[in-house]
Amino acid sequence: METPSGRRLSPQEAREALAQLAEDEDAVRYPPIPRWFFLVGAAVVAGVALAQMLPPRTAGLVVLPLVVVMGLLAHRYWFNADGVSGASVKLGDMAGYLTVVLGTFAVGWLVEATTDAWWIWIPCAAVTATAVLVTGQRYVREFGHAR
Amino acid sequence: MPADAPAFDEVIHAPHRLRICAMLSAAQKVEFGALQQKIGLSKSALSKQLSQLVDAGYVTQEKGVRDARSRLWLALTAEGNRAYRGHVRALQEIVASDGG
Repeated sequence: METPSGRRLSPQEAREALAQLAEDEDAVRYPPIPRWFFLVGAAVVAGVALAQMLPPRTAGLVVLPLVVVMGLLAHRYWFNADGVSGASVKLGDMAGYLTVVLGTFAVGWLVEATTDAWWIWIPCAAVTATAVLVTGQRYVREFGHAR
Repeated sequence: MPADAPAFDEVIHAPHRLRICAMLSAAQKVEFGALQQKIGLSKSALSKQLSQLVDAGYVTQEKGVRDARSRLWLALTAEGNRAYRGHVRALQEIVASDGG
């Protein structure tokens, strides 16, 4: 395929151009995020997991504000970081993280429903919080951190 | 023609304009200053590249205020997004053709 100038791009040039474009997209999509954001995120997912040990009505009262706080922080520090409005996240990039977190919750609900082992939410809280911290560490290493 | 049919686009083929489209494709809006910082162009050079994208109908500009500062926000139009995706597909085809 010819470029508008009539010159054929080599596969190597096309590869380099694609790598640059991916980097540019990521620079907007994944801004530097403060380290504490991930600490709060870990506390929130652990809190949501531990809340499952409470009666359903009380659990809802605990989970809702946690989720709202996390949503507001993500809105401010991720999706609307300085100079960006409405950054779009690629679901595929989060597949591993979402699989671990949602999978852990699924296991927790399954185990509790079939064995009444309420304590399952303690290891679930540890696993999900660790997943957030590890993801955060990788994120900061790759995209940097903000103050 | 499919929405993202592979096609080199004359307007966004220039490296800086292509990079601008890449960044704008990743958000609803990006501020002029942020774009300038990420691409490393002077104000006048970035304005020149942007005006060509605006003239082609690929980018829209909108003045707004955030944190008590007046800012110029830029967004990729649907047409601009289509042209960018088609351009990326054309590059991917070249890479794929090399792999056999």
